[in-house]
Amino acid sequence: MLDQLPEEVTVEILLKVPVKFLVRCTCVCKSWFNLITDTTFISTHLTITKNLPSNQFLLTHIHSSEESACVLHFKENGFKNYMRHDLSPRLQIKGSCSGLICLVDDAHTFSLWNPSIKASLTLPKSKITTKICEPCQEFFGFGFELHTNDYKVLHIVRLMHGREPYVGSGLNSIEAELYSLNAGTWKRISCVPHHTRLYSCPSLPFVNGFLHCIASQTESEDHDCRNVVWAFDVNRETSRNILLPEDLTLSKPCKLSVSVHGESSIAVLDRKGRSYSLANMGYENICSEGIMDEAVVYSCRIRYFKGFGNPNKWGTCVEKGWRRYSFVRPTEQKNQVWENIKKELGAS
Amino acid sequence: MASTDDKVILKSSEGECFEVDMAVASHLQIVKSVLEDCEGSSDKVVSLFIVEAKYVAMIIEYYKNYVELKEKHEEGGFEEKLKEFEKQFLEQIDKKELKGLVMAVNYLNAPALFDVVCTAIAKHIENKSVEYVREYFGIVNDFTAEEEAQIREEHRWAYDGVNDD
Repeated sequence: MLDQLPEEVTVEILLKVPVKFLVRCTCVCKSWFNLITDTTFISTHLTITKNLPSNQFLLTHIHSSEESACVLHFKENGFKNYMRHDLSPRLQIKGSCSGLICLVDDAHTFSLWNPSIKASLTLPKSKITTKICEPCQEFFGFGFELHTNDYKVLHIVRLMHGREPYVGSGLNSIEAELYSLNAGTWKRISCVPHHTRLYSCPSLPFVNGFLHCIASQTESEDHDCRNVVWAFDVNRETSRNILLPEDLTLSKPCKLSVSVHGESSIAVLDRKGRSYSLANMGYENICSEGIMDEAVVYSCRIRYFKGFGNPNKWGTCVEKGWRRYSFVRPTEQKNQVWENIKKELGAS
Repeated sequence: MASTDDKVILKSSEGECFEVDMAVASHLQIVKSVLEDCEGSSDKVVSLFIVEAKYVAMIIEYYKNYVELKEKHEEGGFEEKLKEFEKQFLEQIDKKELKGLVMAVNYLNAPALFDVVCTAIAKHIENKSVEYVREYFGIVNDFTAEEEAQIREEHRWAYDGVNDD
């Protein structure tokens, strides 16, 4: 028999190995280099391996006066093993999807971190950041476009005027910019319609190709505001609204938050006076969206959106009591975030 | 179309003959299509020109158990039992033989076993050095020393934790 394996067999084998080994194998020979660095191969490998337990993480962020780091805790072995990525001070996690993590620092420099190959890429400066001298509110979203294999970063800035930030909620006070990794550039877009106010959210959850945010809308200045979920289509670069269940449309929008629920739903959390917010707890999910469910500790009603085109759009699940999420804290680190989480969860 | 009670003879590259139940042989797509092509002919011998006898025997053993387990655990639990058997099956195969086996299985087009062997090879090589991989796959390095050094330098972290034993 021949000594060399046919290419289709080599491909099949290499689709089953960990990324570290693939990176090592780029120096085996030229044809392996070309195979392993091929975009189709990379995305097929990601699709096959992303649901393996060894590729599921809990992503946390350490920030204190001495250090700042992203930590990925591997789901395998009960989150005991972790990988750490040191960051420049005051860098924040703004989203994660399809294997990449989006970070931004206080000088408004965006970067994308790929933990699998331990590489990060600094994005060019977003143009609207030059306008951020007035008090303003910022929104960040990070999504992935499957068909074009493109990652996109959404950056929205609402400039505030005086003490009342939302006077003149027209377009002129909102600036939005979208970065495409394939194009390598930012471009200005107008995606937030008139009389729409987005509600603060550390990063917009990405589900089914859409970035989501709680928003309140009014037809004109005289009308009452109604809450909706503002959804930005990462592929078409347009936005649409998801209507909320009746009882949530008129409640205080600042009490609502939106997060990922399961594989392909969003959850709207109605906090009813509780001061908990999932996103503030430092939980992010990477690779598997399902991990959020396990990390969520939630006592209120969760409304989840089943998707456009589903006639029975909203489902409700009621969870009583806070569910504890078990994980092991990295021992050698003074970790403010972990302490806070433990306190919030009432862990001993 | 042959009924499942039928037998078929598989002939290895050395000319050794294996009599196999059709239910087992039908998992090998190449055998299935050869038999379909000469439907009606009394001659039920399929020559597997490039497959050595030892691999024919392994493939038959795998699918014989596969068919038996599937029958026995129709109600459920088949996947689990199959996993157990696969583990035991792979233990008795030499690492060098895995490569010969995967080529044979690929040639015979037997998807279930192909996946099992590819996974076993992947598991075997994932901690190995670049040199080991080249030798195992019979690959000649066509990079210059400088090119290779440069690629290695770019991702130095990927080269630790290697264990060639």
